[in-house]
Amino acid sequence: MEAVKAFDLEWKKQNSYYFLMYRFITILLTTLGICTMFIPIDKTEIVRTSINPLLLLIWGMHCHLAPYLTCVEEGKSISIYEKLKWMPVAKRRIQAVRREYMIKFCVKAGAAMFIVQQIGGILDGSWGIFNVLYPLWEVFFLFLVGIIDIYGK
Amino acid sequence: MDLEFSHVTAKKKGFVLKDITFSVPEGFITGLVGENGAGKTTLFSLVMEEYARYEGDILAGGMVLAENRREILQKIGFISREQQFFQNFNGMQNADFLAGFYREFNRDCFIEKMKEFGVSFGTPLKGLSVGEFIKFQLAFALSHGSRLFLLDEATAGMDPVYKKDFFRLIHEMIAREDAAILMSTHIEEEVTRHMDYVVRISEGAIESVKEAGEWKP
Repeated sequence: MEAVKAFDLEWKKQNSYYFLMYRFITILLTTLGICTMFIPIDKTEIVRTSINPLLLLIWGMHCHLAPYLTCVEEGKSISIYEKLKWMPVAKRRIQAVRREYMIKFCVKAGAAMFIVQQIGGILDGSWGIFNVLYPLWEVFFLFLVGIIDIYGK
Repeated sequence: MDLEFSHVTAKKKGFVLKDITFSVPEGFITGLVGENGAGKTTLFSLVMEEYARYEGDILAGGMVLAENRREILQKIGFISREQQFFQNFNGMQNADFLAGFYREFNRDCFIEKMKEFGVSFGTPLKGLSVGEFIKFQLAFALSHGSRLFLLDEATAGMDPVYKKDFFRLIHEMIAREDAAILMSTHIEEEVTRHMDYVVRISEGAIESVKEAGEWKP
């Protein structure tokens, strides 16, 4: 795992502009997604009210992981796993490190979403159990999509 | 580090390798010859790919490849025009990316070899000629202590000047290092002039394994 992290560090150093661009988009989308969580969940229209923050956060997470999962050569997006397939490192170790990054993102975003949703619910005077469950299932779906992103390449 | 194929049979994308048995001894250059589509590159992929499926055994340095892949790959230098490096980056950047995967990678040795081989440090790999790209791969392989070199059609498309220089390097490697070389080619002159042993493969099966002196095209 240390070898993979050493690769990631050097990869990030040599692709600093690429990472900066993706980081900017990640922060923008994730912040927007978290801000929409101020709107307390509408128990009667759970799907409709939860889809917008979820989509924004999925997109944000995808941008967070993208520079670790792909590189672009001659206009084509190539999987990092493909580039490292003949290195003395197991693919599952590379995936494990990306999973670590994804989990950290989910935990941070999840914590922010949870706090914001509780505040929204309390200020609205409609706080209830759904305000607790709502950010949890958002994180769950976020995690699922992250797993597909990492293991689907 | 020697390489041994023992009754290896594999199916890949409709192509079948049948009962492949031969050895690549240390201190010698073994040529793998055959027409296009004979199975040469497929054979290399069985050694290099993590999820290669085959029956039989592939041993390197006495270790079973399937059980010790990471350990064995530390000592393998795979040189091919199809090698996966980061084409938008130069040789030094690629070495910096990948050095961490090799316990014995020596940066100073890499710099020395690149200078010795006359490969530009600053040019992205996509801007190197075929010969320069092959030499970069050789420099990288030598810098992480490779003892088994797999060369897949490494000289295809190389001009005669580069080719002469390339084979000089190969012979120096064999003389200096505790190395084994398996090199695929379909160029007869290379076989007769540079190989010690010749393995002929056709339609996925070994036709013959001979010393180069006994080999006839």
